[in-house]
Amino acid sequence: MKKFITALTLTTLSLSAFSATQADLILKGVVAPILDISIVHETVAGNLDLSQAASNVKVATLTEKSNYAQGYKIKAKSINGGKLVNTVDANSFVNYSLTYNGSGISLNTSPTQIYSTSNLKGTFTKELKISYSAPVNLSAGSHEDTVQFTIEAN
Amino acid sequence: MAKYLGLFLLILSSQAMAGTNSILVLRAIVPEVMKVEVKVDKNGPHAILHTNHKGKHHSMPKFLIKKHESHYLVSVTQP
Repeated sequence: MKKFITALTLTTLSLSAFSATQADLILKGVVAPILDISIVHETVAGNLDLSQAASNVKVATLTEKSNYAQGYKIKAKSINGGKLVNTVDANSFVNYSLTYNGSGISLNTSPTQIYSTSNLKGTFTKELKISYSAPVNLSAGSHEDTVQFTIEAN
Repeated sequence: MAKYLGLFLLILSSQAMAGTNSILVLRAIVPEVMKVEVKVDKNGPHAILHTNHKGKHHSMPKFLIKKHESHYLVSVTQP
């Protein structure tokens, strides 16, 4: 009898635990973070004409991708600080300027912010264009510079 | 085993392509100029070297100027 009462009590308690007037369905999806920058060079970027001045010559297209809620920023760093420098004669160089999506940017040897957005998400392309005055008294040979672009989440 | 190695290489490759840095390389080639200009004035003929060749400024070529009828013949010797 004692065993019967104990079993009945436990069964009743158990049923109480399972019965309710509401139930929650929990759904969850995870979006992987995207933060990417890539560049496509124009042919002229590797064969600039220093026999004359250049004005807004397109040298490359940047593609930026981000899905960060607070947006992202772009930084640029020039190895030669905005100069095309002769690879064997550092005294032979050409100062140049770049525009990023139509706006002039600072070309320093340390990373400098050139763009920031607080909420944009998606894929965006930006054109890079070069300008310089007609150079004089340049030494023969290759004149080069490398600009590194970095994307960072805000 | 080879299958897992392929997967590993694929993951590495994907990471290399998706980056937070991109490099813009700018390059211009200035062709070499080596031109000799000969002028004749009251002091006689003399040659002027026009060049953009690095290293030649300190070791000028030798000019040998000879009059030949109504012309001057200039021979240039690189040092």
